[in-house]
Amino acid sequence: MKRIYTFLLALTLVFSTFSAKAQLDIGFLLEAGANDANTYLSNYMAPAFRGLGFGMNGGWYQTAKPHKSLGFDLSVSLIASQVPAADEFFTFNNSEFENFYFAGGNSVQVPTMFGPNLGADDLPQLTVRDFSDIDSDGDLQEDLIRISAPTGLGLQEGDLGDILPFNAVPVPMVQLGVGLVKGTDLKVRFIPEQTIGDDATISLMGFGLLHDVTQWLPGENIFPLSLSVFAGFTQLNTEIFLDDSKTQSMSLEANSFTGQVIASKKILFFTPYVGLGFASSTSNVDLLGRFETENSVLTDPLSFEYEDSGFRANAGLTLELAVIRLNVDYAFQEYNTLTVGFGISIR
Amino acid sequence: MYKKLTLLTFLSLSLLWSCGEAGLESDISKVNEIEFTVSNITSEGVHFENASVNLADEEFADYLGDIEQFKVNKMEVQITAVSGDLASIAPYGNGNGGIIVSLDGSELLAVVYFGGSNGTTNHQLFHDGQGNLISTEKIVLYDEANPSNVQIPSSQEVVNILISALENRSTLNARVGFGGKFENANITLKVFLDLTARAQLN
Repeated sequence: MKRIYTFLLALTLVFSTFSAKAQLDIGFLLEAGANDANTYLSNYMAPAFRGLGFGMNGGWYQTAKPHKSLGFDLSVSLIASQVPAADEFFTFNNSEFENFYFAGGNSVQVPTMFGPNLGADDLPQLTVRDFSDIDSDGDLQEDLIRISAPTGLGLQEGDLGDILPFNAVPVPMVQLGVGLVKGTDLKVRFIPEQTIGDDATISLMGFGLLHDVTQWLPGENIFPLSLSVFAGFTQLNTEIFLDDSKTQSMSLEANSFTGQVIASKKILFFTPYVGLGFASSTSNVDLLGRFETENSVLTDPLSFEYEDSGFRANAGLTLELAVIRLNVDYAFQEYNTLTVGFGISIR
Repeated sequence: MYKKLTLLTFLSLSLLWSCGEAGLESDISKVNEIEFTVSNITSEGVHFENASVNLADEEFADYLGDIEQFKVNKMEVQITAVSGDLASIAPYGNGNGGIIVSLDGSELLAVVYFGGSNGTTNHQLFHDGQGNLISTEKIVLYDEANPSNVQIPSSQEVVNILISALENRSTLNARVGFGGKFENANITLKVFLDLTARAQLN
């Protein structure tokens, strides 16, 4: 079981190494079987992975105006995907589970990972009942364990709350932009596979193209704004090994795509801009390997996917001082995102 | 360079993602079953069966390092099987019949079927009109949340003994005794202890 707890902890390592506090609360879920664990954890962790997807579509540009040929910029951004209040809890429906139920009714509201950190007295008790005779003792009414519903981590109540003004998934991003020809910039996000410690790997790649359409408009020289179209794709892969022999692991593949029209206008040192378009993302999470619970052995027990798509509108402001560029951006979508960034920009 | 960027990324996230100061709290509840089987007893008198149980290790081994307190929610007893030629707890000879269940010497359950005009003490739940033991539903001895559900009250001392054993991770000596008349009798009695551990992860 400890390995499973380790996995559940590691799952959250997709983003970071937040403390080991969550492991106990959700480890018991696998006792109810893989299907129930999938259902519960996919709901519990949804804000984290959905926020990641929305966040990965941020930070692509700081202006609609492309570089001159061979001009470039290098930028570092921290993107915060705001978790809506509605996603701080989800509805636990008994009908969606096989061995897992709430004895006090047919359904109950329980926290997601991004919910508040509640004490045991404020959390509903959930029960793993052996409806499908997991332990093969012929008793279909046996309660194997009751436990407080996993609490939210209360991230906004901790250090995160000191930094961000809202409950959010932080997504850092580093990228390089290079001016090509005909008013086109190539944006590249790339981290080759890196080993973190001895037990995790991460890689990231992304490509984007920004193309100035002002040049194709009649009256180009008198058009008051820079107008561009942009398309960008980002993929994050990570694998975290849970045992020394590296036979158990958690993997995440997250993909995001956005296509937008952008307008900007440089005024002295400032460049305000707006963007409007479409964004989509998918995240696939898998737990791979053989895992022992008290009553069974589960092979590759967890696999869940998140998909989001919709319109994305954003507005931002970039301050350029010589080659230094500072930027703030806010995007309106299902998970609104705030981006702050800095970098250098040449030509 | 890439490695530095990657490390920068992870370090920034590690900084940002930390839980609140309160830590995480969770209640874990389990029902421990102690099963006694008294087999092939023949003769009048009292017949005992013993068992040892370490509740902390059996039920909460995965969480022991994080538990800050235990609670006893409910205690129940049930006769799940009776077979044989005779298993009666009616008074016999000069003795009274009955059932006793104890934990470390303290009585969890004590029912005595008195003879003569000395009255009765809840033994009817365990036998038919002739005093023969029967399989029963779960009989509530202690219910912390709903005291009115208790059918045969147990002593608070037993609750204290349970909590002490959980906190000290010590082994409890459990004992059951059946008094009466028996011929080739087999009796199975279960004790159900509904326990909660409150874990705090800091």
